This record gives sequence, structure tokens and C-alpha cells, in this order.
Amino acid sequence: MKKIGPILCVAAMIVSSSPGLFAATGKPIVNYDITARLVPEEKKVEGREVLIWLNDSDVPVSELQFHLYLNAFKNNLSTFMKESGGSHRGFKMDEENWGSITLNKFQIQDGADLLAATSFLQPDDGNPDDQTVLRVGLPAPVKPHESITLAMEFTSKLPKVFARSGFVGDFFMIGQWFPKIGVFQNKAWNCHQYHSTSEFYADFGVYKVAITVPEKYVVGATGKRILERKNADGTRTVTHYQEDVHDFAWAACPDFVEFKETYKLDQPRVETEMILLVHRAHLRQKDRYAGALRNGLEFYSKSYGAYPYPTITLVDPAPGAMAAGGMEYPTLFTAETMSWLPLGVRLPEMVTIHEFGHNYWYGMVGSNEFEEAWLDEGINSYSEIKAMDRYYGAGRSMIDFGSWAIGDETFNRTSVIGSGRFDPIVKKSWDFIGRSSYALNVYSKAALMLLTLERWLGEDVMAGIMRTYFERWKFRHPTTKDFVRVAEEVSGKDLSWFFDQVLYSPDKLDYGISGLSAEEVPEPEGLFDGRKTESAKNVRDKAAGAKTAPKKFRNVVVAARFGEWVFPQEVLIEFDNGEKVRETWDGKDRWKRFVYVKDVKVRSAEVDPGHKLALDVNYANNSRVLEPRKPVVMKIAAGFMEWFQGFLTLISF
Amino acid sequence: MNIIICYAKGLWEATLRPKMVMILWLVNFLFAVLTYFLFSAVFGSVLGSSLLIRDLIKKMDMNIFIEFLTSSGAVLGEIITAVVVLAFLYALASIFLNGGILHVLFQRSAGESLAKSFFAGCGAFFGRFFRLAIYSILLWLPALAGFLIVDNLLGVLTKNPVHEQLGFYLTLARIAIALFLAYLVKMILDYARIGIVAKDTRKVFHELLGSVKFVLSRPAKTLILYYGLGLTGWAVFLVYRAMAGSFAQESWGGIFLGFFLAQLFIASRGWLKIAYFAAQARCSYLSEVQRAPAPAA
Repeated sequence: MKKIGPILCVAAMIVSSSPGLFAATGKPIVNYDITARLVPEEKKVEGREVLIWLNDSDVPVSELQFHLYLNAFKNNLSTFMKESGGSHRGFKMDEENWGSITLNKFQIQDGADLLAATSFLQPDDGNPDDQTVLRVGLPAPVKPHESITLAMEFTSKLPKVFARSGFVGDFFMIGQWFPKIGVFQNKAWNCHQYHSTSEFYADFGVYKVAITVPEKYVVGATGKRILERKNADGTRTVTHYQEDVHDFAWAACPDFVEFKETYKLDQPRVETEMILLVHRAHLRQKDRYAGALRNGLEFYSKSYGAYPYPTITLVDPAPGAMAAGGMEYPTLFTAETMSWLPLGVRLPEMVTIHEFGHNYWYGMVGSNEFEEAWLDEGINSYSEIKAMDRYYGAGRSMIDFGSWAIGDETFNRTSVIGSGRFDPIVKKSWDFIGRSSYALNVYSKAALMLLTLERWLGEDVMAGIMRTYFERWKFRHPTTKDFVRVAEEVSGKDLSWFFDQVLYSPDKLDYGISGLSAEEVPEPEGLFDGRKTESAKNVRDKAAGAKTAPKKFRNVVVAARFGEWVFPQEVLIEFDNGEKVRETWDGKDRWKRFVYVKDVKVRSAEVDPGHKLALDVNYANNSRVLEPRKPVVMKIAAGFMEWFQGFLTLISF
Repeated sequence: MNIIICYAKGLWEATLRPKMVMILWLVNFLFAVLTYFLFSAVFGSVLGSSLLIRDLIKKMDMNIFIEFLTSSGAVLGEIITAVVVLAFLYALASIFLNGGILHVLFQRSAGESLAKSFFAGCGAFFGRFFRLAIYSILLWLPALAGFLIVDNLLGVLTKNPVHEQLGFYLTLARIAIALFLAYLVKMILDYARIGIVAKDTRKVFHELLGSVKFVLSRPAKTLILYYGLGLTGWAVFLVYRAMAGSFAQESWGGIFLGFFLAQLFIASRGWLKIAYFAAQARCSYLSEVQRAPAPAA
């Protein structure tokens, strides 16, 4: 390979001197310059890395910590493999193709060799077999606000695609592949092991990566391509550069077909290059990807802030590499589809919008996924539901076959409805009782929490909260408290009662109508003031022909709190004459009774009539009618019976 | 030409026996009606008094059904168990009923009431047909083996995951092949039952072998007849769906009319079952006649 370093440096300077993002974050904490060579036949990447790390703290730092995440796939004793049981999202680890990362050289640039000073540590679980975090002792501390430059050489052995990294045939998805430094904050390293549920937390900085692959390979990578050239040995080198990102991933496959399109938006101003790397087996799905990506760019830019990067790359995993699908990296994400997938199943659209959205929630707003995963997955799932509803229709955004339609919100509700009460939303990702508890809490329950908040505060207020949170915390590391602070500030309300329940307790929200009755009020009869009073009926009976007095009904509505969480309630009561009464209830007690004596019977009662509480785990009990809806029940039950009758005729052999 | 005659004769024979159609419908109805009460009890208790279903009378809302399925999982498990048990019992009952249908077609004496002849046949042939069902394993196993061979051959074509689209089409092909084999076995069993009743023989295994030989010696005729009747069933189904979709089922009257139409359709399935037996019996008879030596002049 020819020496291209000087050219790259000039190119990088040109790019970085242009009005870019970098100004937004001040001095970068990390500055990576990596050269990588893919060796397809050996399923490995040979890499060299020069890292400039800035000690942005006020204390000297005498050791560094790095993520070596491919070691999660080194054997079955790593923390990742123990937690996942060798299976991730339904895909099993191929035990013939383990992955690993080996450091061949580690030194201070032009200085001391540090390889001997390295050791593995396990800050989360003490598992001695886990080698995903590396500690390096330094011969001299890095003083506050000074930098250290390190030079490394490494070999990344790729597993067969598992947990989004690796190869299938000649498709390569290369993420979590290089030694990545942890985050030094609060005078300590925040550098977690690789867990089966989360993987991201790093400082923003500059990445310049030169990737060499055999010439036939099509490459997609984080950032903008600043250089591309053919080499004499039948390889090709592409160099990508990006500021203000905290990770770098790339993909390569000879069967990618590259589509490029400039996406422009006037308000807010966005101009970015959409790059779609669609596997040739999925070409008929290309327009679905492109449409969804345009929708994602528009929705997130208009809702939260302009997409600032010059590129966004969609990688379509090869058939058989679904385990690489649905993953986010800065300015690059993997989507997911099948060539035969019908238009009515909006999996590609949902995954595209969700993974693109991570460029905002974790990509730019760099929360700690290990410790508070809801800040990226939950907020992004909320955004995804809203985007899907907007572009594909509420109640039909996920499955849409005419009358057979299901919305994204329903999908998220189902996991929360059926869940146990094990974990709260805010918890370290590896401390959840299981993967499903992690997923339902940090994705679905958190998304429904934000939808509930939005419907309670109003869409405009919520939009203000989200925009302010994004603007204030982009390219920084916010926590849950920061989000709550923004929500309270923008809404002007104390929301601690809401967030304290929903974020920190594993309980559920469930309000309903537990009682509804209308009984005729008996007329006065008996002793009153020492005199016997005859009932009006008797009097009337005696005076034949007297006109019947109108009946009175004692209508009783009992609203109840079946769950543990407390939320103020509105109760809508409707009477037979069409009269509607709205009541409010603070929702604190277990129940609240409303009594009305009227000439008419109550027809129905409903808590949360505006359907604001997306977190309510049982919509069925939210309302009650005095007269059950027999025709509907009969129609549905008859439909079920007819289906069964037809089935019986088919099995009568 | 013979096949068309068999087809027409089968449909005509079935049309001439509305009472038998009624019996088949009634048995089906009695097995299924339990699921109506089970389902309406569960659905009614969860959603019957809820405003959530106010629009379900007008249009399907899967979002509500998903909520219902999620929140009522445990009870629905009991319904599914009941459905499985009922389906198993119905499969046994259909073995019983087959004897009745064929007995009426072949052995009903003049003046004998249909019900008497039907249930006499059910009882008389149940044991033999049950044995036939057990012997049919000898057909199911080769069918399964044949399917697995084809499945493996098709699997080679899709070993390279790049051929995802082809894989999809081949999955459809697998389903088609599995259905074809299943209905081929069913067809052979139909001819065996016809032989057993027509000859009133207890040599069940012998008849099974004879029917295999019969079908394999004239595959085109038997398959055309079988799928011709199958297409008739589909045509009836499409007519039923078109009629059911032509009016609103939003009132008691509409719901009842929809239910009535559905029952007519289920009855048509019984009619078709009789037609299958009658047409295949005719086909079998014609073949016997053609095979028999010409009578001496």
C-alpha cells in the first residue's frame, strides 16, 4: 500500500477548516486516526490506530481504559456470552467462528511501550474471563487539559455475524472493532464491559479512518468520504472523516449496490447525502428504504433540530445476515428487510426510522446507554412511534392490510401490558432480570411514558421539551436528571411525582371503572316527624286516574385505581338523554364514587376519555356501559365459531 | 368425458340428499357451538361492557384484538385447549360419519329412513374405517419421506442466502407440495372407504392397497376429478364471501343474516363431501365396468 498519510492530513485539514460541527463542541476529547485493512479470506481486520486523548478534567490521569469489545465473542465465558447464553435476538453464536481483538503494539507515540503495562479489568461484574475492558498504566500521568498521543496496532478477528458485528459470506459489518477509549468523568473512568444489552458510551471527537479492501468490495462507513483510490495490489482504499461523533463503523460487501441522493430541507436547513448500500438481493426494497429515510430526516429535523452531518449511510445486511440488522452508529446504521416482504408489513420503514433516529438520541445527545438506556432507546422509540404514525397512519403504521391493521403504539403496548413488575425503567442495563425486561422497560415503557406525558402536557409543550433537551445536550452527556430538569423547566410544572413513579418503580398504571349502576329511587315511605307517611304510590293507587310522577334514578359511578402508579384522572359520565358530565379525581385513593340522582339512567362512564394514558395497561376496564354490548359480542363470537366450523371441515379426513 | 360425468353425477347425488347435508351440518354445528359460548363468555367478560368495542360492530380493529389477546392470555389458553380437543374429537367423528355417507349412497334399502340408514352405516363401518385410519400411516410415512426429499433438494437451491427471493418462492412450493401430498393420501383413503362399503368387506388393508393401485394407475383422471370438486368448493366460498360482504352486519338482523349465510356455507361443505364420495364412487364404478370382460353375446 502506498503512503497516503500526508494527502489525508491535507484533506482532513480542508474538511475540518470548513464550517462544520466541530466548533459546536470545542476541543475534541478524542482524535482517532486509523488505517484498517480487511482480509476477507481470514475474516479479519488489520489495524493501526493513532489516538490523541485530551484530559479534559481537573485531575491528573495515570491510567487509561479502553473498550476491546470484540473480545466479547472470544469464548463462552465472556460476560456478554454468559448474559446472552450465546444467543442474541434469536440468533445463535457460531461456535466455529469466534471473534476477538488482539493488541500487537501499544505505545506512547515515539515513546514508551505500554503493552506490558496493560491488563484486563471487569468493573461491572468481576468476571475474570471477560476481556472487554483494558487498563493501561501510564509511566507519567496526563496532566489536566493536556493530551497524550498513543499508537496501537491491532488485529480484529470477526465472528460470524452475531450481535450486529461480523461476517456472513462476503458481507462484513464491522462495528466495535477498534480499541476505543472510555469516558473519564467525575474523576474516574466510565468504561463498562460489553454487555448483551448495551454497548455505547464514548466521548465526542474526530475520526479519520482509511479502509483498504479488495477492489470488488463496496464500502460504507461513518462520515464523509474524503479520499478514494485504487492500489497496485488489487485493493482499494477509502478514507472517511467525521467530527463530533463518538464511534466509527463500516460495512463492506461486493454485492452492495450504492444509491446516492442529496436530501434537502428548507426549514430547518438540512443538506445531506443519503447513501443507501442495498444488497442486490433486496433491490426491490430500495424505494422503501429511501422513502423511510427521507421521512426520518424530515421528522427528526423538524421535531428536534436540523440533521447536521454531511452524510447518512444506510447499510442493508445481506440475506442470512439479519443478525447485523437494526443497529445504529454515528451517520451509519443497518436496516433490515427481506426481498419478499409485502408493503403492508412496515418492518423496513420502522427499523430505518428507528436506527436513523439514533443519530439524535445517543448519536448527538450522548447519554450513557449502559447506565440509563432509556435516554436513547426510550426517547428514540417515542420518536419512532410519532414518526411512524405521521407518515404511515396511526393504528396502521406497522401492519396494514386494509381492515387488518396494527399500529406501532399497539406493538409497544403489548410488551408492557403483558410484563411482570420486575424492573423500573432506570437501571443499569445488565441489572435487569432478563433481556425482555430490559427491552420492554427501556424501549416500550419509556416510549409510552413520553407519549403519556405529551398527551397530558400537550403536544406543543412536549415538542418544546424535546427540542430544548436536544439543543441543550447535543454533543454532551446528559443524564435522566437533566431530562427531567428540562421537562420541568419548559412545562413550568413540578413533574417529580410523575417521573419518580414511572422511572424508578417497576409498578403499573391502571385506572378503570369498577362500578356502574342506576337504581330507581324509592319514594318516601315510613315515619317522618312522628307521623306515618304513606308512599306516593299508595296514595296514587287510591286516587285512581292520578298521573304517574316521573321516576328518579340513583346513578352511581365508581372509578378505581387498580395499579400502583397515581395519575390525576378525568371521568366522563354520559346519561341516556345524551347529557355528559366531566369529573376530575386526583387518583390518589383506591377508588372514588360519583353519585347522581336524575330522571334518567347513566349510560356509560369512562376514565381517561381523551386516551392520554398510553401507559395504562388495561384499556378494556377504562369504561363501562350500563347495558352490555351484546350484538358486538355475538358478532365477534359468531365469527370465531364460523372460523372454527370451517377449520373442522378441513380436518375431516 | 367420464370424469365430467362423474363430477356432475357427484354434485347431483349430493344435491338429492339435503337431509344428509343437514346431518353433516348439524354435527359440525354442535361441535363448534361450544366454542361460541366459550369465546363469547371470555370476550364478553373482558370487553362486553367496555366502550372500547363500540366501533367493532362497524369495522375490524386489530389493535383492540391485540390488547384483548395480550390481557386475556391465560383464559384464551383454555379456549385454545378446548379448540384442540374439539378438533381431535371431530376428526374421530368424521371417521364415524364417513360410514354413514357411504352407506346411504350404496346400501340404503328402499323405504329405509335416511337417518336409520345413515347411522346404521356410521356404526357398521366405524371399526373398519378406524383401522383404515391406522393403516393409513403406511401412506403418510412415504408422503412425509417424499416431502423431506423434495424439501432437501429445494434446500440445496437456497443454500446461498443471496437467493432470498427464490427461497420465498420455494417455501410456497413446499407448502403446495405438502398440501398436494396430504390431499393425495386423503383421496386414496376415500377410494379405500368406497371399496370397503361397496363390497361390504372387512379386508381393509386389501382395499387400501387396491385404492393405491387404482389411483396410481389413473392419476390424471382421479386428480382432475378431485381438484375439480375442490375448485367447486372454492367457487362456493368466493360466492359466500361476496354475499357476506354485500350487506352491513351492524344490527341484530344483519348479524343473524351473516351467521345464517355462514351456516349455509358450512352446509355446502357437507354437500361437497357427499359429492366427493359420490363422484369418486362413480369413477371407481366406471373403471370396474370398463375393466370387466364384455358379456357373452
